[in-house]
Amino acid sequence: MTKRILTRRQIIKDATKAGIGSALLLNPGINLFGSDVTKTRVILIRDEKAVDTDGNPDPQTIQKMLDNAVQKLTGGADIKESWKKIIRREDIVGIKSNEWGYLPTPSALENWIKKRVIEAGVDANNISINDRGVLSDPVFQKSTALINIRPMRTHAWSGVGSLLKNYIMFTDSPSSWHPDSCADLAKLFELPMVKGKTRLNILVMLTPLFHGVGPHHFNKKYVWPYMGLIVSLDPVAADSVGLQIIQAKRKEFFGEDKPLNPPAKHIYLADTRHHLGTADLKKIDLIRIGYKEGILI
Amino acid sequence: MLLSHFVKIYDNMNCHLYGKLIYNKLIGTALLIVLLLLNMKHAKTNIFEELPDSLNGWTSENVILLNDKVSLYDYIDGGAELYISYGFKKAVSRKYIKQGQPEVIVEIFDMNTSENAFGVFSNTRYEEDSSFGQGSQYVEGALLFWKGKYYISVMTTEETDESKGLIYKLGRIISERITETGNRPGIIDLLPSEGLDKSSILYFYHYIWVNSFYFIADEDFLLIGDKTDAVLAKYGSQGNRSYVLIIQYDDNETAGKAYNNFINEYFPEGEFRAISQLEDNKWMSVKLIDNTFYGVFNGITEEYVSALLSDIELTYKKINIDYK
Repeated sequence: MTKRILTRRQIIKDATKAGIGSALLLNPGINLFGSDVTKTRVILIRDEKAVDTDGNPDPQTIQKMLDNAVQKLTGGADIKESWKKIIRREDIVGIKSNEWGYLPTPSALENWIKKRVIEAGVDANNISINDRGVLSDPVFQKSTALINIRPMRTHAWSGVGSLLKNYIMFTDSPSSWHPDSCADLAKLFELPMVKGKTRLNILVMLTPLFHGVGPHHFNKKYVWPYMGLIVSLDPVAADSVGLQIIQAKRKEFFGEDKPLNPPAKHIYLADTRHHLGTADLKKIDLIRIGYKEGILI
Repeated sequence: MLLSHFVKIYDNMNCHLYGKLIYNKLIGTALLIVLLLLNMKHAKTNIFEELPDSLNGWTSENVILLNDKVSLYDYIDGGAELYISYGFKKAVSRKYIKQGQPEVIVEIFDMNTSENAFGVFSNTRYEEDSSFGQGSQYVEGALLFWKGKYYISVMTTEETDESKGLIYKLGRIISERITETGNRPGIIDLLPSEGLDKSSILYFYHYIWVNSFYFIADEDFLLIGDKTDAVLAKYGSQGNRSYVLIIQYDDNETAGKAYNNFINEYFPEGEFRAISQLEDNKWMSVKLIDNTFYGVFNGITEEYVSALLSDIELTYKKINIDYK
């Protein structure tokens, strides 16, 4: 064997020396317009009023959370300026959502993003919200900018349904991305319809799913009101933070380590193999805003 | 019963020749009927056609037949891979609805063999009882069980008294109407019984599942591929868990290669010992017996791992009496 593979022992040894994932390659980062910020910054924002007792999102609260997170992420003086650091007025914007029936992207968030993009100067006709129909959507077909948004959940084959996995609808053969438990999902970001277009990633952690049973991999017993949003320019970093929270919840719930089955290796490989972003928590500038109880990270 | 009835008819005919002819015909017919009845009793049930159209005010109109991988992908997308990795053959789905109640969905997977059906079940359950089929788990609105070559899921999106009642009722109907039972995979017998958490046994033959309890490596360096029998199990209790991995290869040569891969990747500087302590202070060992690879991981003490290895060897000897 010439290629060194990643074993548990290697991870333990690296952690002893310089922190888990010290061998991971640092992503060069994504430049904001008119900014020299290149750090892998991730905003984790939570609000205890984000969902009601039935888990339904409160539109006003989650809109405020999103605004606050985007402003903190971009460093804009106000909301409008913050969005202008992400979106140009001439952009054609695809908002890549997720319509999975049991845990879809809340429409209040989709619509709020659209409103903010319009306020940034984009014509409403040049904005589309879509998931499974992106390939035939004229706006997505000629898009110059993408906003990636979805709820995080465990997944029976890829470990988690992540921001990385959310782009699987940009291919007409999703199952061809399944080998090795979806190891190479990061390559989706190299597809012509996608490459270089992603401006913002929002991992919805309002009521994440931390475990799944049965063919549909959903049970209300395994969702909990985390009441958070994870916002970043780097989908790998956002996914990595979300993954840590899911793992921590599993340990809390089951009373012992219960690794995702199978592991969400596509997030790790998005960094080490495909260099799309950074999965190494030690290299992520995680900014926590708001409600701290039960934050799990 | 039928035979004695015909004998009585014969007696009433006073042994007349014509009566004898009739007698022979009647005996033949009776035997045919008995054979047909016996055949009906032992005929394999087509469980796909046995689900009721209505039950306790619940109705089901559509039957969805999933008879290949493509239709399974369409039905549950990425979730299909779990079933495909265990030899999925076909499945049926029925949705039951009732005014004012959440829907209840029944799915019956024909996994081709009982070993595969157990495998899927073992991959998804974390507790197990014998309430349904050959092993089941109920989790707040979801009943999962296996019987024979079938893996069954009956679930609702919202557990109510009525939807839970229907789930139990359907579970019992399905369990009763699947008349065949089946064996669990033989490799499970290689697990020592002392300290074994029986609800944790996970059977598989696709390398994807090797990290289910404990991350070992990110690639298939143990050469499991997609057809080598393997089993994982937990030993001890929460807070004091050890994990046993057993892989049974087709031949000794492949087993030897896998063993060497493990040693080379885990101990690249040649520091391997029969029982080793890793940097997290936990103890581990790997062992090769003929074509079978054993791994013991996450042991709290060296002595515990040593004792577990002894049990493993004893169990192997009991099952393979030729082993020396």
